[in-house]
Amino acid sequence: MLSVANLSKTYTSEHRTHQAVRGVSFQTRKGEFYTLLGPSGCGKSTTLRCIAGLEKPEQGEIRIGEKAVFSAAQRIFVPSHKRNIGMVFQSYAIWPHMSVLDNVAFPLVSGDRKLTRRAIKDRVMNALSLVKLEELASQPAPLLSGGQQQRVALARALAHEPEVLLLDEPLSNLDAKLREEMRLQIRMLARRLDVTTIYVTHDQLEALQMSDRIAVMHDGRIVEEGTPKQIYLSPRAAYTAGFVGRVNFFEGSVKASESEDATVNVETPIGVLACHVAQGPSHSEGEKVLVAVRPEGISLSMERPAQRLNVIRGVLEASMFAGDTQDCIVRVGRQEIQVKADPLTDLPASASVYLHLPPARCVIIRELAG
Amino acid sequence: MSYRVAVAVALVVAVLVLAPLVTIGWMSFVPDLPTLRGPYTLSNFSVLAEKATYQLLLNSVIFSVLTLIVALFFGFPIAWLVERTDIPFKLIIRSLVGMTILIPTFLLAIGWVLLLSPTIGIINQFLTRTLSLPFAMNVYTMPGMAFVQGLSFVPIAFFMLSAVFAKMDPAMEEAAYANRVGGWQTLMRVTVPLSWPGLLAAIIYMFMLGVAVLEVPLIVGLPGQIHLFSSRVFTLTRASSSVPQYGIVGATSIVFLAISMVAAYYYSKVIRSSYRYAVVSGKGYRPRLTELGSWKWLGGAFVLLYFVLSILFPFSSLIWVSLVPYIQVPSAEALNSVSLSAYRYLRNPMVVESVANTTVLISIAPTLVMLLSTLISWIVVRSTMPGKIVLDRLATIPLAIPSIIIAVALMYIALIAGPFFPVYGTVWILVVAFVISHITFGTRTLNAAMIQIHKDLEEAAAVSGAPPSRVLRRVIVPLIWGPLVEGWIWLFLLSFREVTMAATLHITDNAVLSTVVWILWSNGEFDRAAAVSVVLAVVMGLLAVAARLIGTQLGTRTSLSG
Ligand SMILES: Nc1ncnc2c1ncn2[C@@H]1O[C@H](COP(=O)(O)OP(=O)(O)OP(=O)(O)O)[C@@H](O)[C@H]1O
Ligand SMILES: [Mg+2]
Repeated sequence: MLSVANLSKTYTSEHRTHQAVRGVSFQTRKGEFYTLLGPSGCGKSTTLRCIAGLEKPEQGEIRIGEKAVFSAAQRIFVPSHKRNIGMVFQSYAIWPHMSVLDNVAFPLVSGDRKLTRRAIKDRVMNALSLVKLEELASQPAPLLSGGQQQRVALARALAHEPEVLLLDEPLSNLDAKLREEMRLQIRMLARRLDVTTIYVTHDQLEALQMSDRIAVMHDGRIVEEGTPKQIYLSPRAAYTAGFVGRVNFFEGSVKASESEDATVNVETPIGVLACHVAQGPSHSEGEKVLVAVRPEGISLSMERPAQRLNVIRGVLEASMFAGDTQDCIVRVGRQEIQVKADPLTDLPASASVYLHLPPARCVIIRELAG
Repeated sequence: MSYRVAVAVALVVAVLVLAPLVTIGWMSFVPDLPTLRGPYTLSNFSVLAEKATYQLLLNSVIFSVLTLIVALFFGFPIAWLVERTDIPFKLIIRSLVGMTILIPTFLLAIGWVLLLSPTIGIINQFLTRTLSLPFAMNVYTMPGMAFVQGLSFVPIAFFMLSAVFAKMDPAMEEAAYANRVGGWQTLMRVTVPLSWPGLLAAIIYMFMLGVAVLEVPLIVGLPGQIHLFSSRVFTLTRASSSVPQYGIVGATSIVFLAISMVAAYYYSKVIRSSYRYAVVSGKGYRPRLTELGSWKWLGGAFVLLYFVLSILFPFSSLIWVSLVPYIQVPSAEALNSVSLSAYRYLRNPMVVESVANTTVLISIAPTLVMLLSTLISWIVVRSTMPGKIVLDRLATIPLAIPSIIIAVALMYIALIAGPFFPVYGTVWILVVAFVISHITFGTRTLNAAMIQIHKDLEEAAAVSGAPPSRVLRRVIVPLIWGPLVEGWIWLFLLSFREVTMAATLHITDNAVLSTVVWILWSNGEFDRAAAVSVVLAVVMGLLAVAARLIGTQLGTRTSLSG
């Protein structure tokens, strides 16, 4: 549906030149909800803006449907207003001199689309009803609350039934509660309309909850791409594991696999860990790897647990009560391990504790963290 | 914005701005009448070896310096009183000063000549005849000229310095008071130095204007045999003595331009560095106002003095002279001869025609300036066009070109290129001159407005399928509507009072109202000149009020409200 190939964009200003996007490639299916996730400054917005035609990349190709809207090789650059897209900006960009109705109608009366007044009005009301704002149609735009503006922006982006919907951190200016509500609404709306959506965010929770697929970006590149489950539970890149949620890393080397089922043993500073391997190329003996274990994947107990594998003893360094869990730091040898413990457990300082790291939660990552 | 449109705009601006400069250079190499064909000569530059030329230069500089002293003498204290003290009637003072900006300088000059001419001046007649004093005041002197011109610059000084005082952190003055430094000491040791960058900007700006103004040098300077650059350029282009000496004008103007460019350079430098000056603190504080106590009366009297000198005196004299057959001291006897006969001149075809020309000028020129400026600012502020900074710089150049030079250059072009540029002697040449000389104002105003508009608002329109022309019409223009209208109104009023270029470019059929006054005045028809002046001032006042109402209607604040 949307395909981006080898996209590069460099910004040149008086003070510096900066390559914000360095060879980004991805493809989405029709109706897919695809998220670009990454820290501030990693080039998410730039990528999105290239797709929208608001920036002109130096390299690569962008296709919407069958049509190439940008191709460096073929010297194609279709300007924004001729790409069939809808976009929601982080600032919403609601035109303050127009009513809600005029804002939403603007894409319908602009460009080549020839519609009757009736049809326009119908489509506008339809778009407004999608975001549950029909009754505000005649309001002047400046009188809207942040959340309402956000929904008007969404209605405006959807009114002309674009092939691709581009969303640049649309929720970051809303308060926490509204944000949660809108996540769900946007997700359902996109699915209902079956519109291909590119969603940009730096919020991992948002990405995990909403996306069909996530691309984790770092420093202008896509580091890893996968479903939310893959990205969270079995990341292949250390960066992904570190960026999406918290994680403990253990450096180690593969021991000859005495595998029962699909596990590989890895020798680490905290002892031998049996790690689950999903599929893919097998590991060779002696290979240096990184094992990633999320704090909530580890169970902490005062008594030795019944399991045979992956049980380690350590000393409780610190614990912080956080309501739904207790965040603990446990020292094993020279390594500090983050653990989420049951909030009901009584945790005396410097207690000796047992950690169990279930093999399914021990993810082998090939590259060593930099 | 499509590339082609941007290039076209850039070309238009380049031609408009550079044409006067190139023409001035060109004409300095041509010996006699305007021509494109040679021969060329360097002989015109012999004026640069003449002592008289440097006398002109010196006169212009002295005039300019004295003028700004007068302007600051009134402008600085009034701005300080309004911004930093508890003087009453601030709003009225501010609006009145705003109105005085609009008083055409030549009306002020004529009004004062009628009062202070050594032979016919009403005040002088009163001193020598009625009181039989053995002396008279003479306006036809350098201090006399500077006095009149300085009065007309007071509003400029006032508004530039008000802006400085309004932004100044009151904590700095409070620190002085807290340390038991007295009011006067604080003013001189703290307030003045802190406002220095703004003050310097105002000084350079007024200096630049001062060397370029034409009205006072013509009306007050020429009768007193005091020649300045501007009046010299003007008289040289008039064929009164022999043929117009464009070659000499060109050579002289180059020196003139050089001074102006240097001043403009320092002006922009000071403006830029003043942003860095730490006078500005956060927003949203109320500046601490100095309590004047019984000094309030002195302050009030001072402000009043300014209004008496800049409004009451000159306009009373204009009105009086327009009503009596010859210039005389008001008396019971004189009151008997009061009549409106001078106003009958308003039915003269020349006046009627000038009204038509004025209408064309004041409606079309401001519109063209704002249209062109909108396009320029949009390209400069928003596009990613390479070389857009060049366009921005081009648009600021006219600030440094004295308007009389623009006028002379256009006249020359019209003479040479008559068939291609058939505007010689029409009001259109005046329109073009006005557009060139005000592009800087238009683009500065709109640049500032456009920077305020969030880029997303524009991009949202583009991704909604709107081509650039539609983005401009439906998003940009509505969002800068306030400053656009405000700028238009301001230019509308300025074009109405414009006289330098109008008089320079006047041939026969293209007189505007202000030119009519000038013509009558130079013919010695004082009562008629005064009558037309009074009408001009009244119309100006009505236009200003109307503009203010329209401005408010459009939900904007006009510059008049300060
Ligand atoms: N117009 C510009 N000129 C110069 N550099 C820019 C410009 N826009 C972005 N950059 C730089 O490009 C890099 C990527 O910017 P981008 O806006 O794509 O980041 P982002 O991933 O969207 O970050 P955020 O989450 O903060 O929005 C940043 O280092 C930024 O400083
Ligand atoms: Mg961004």
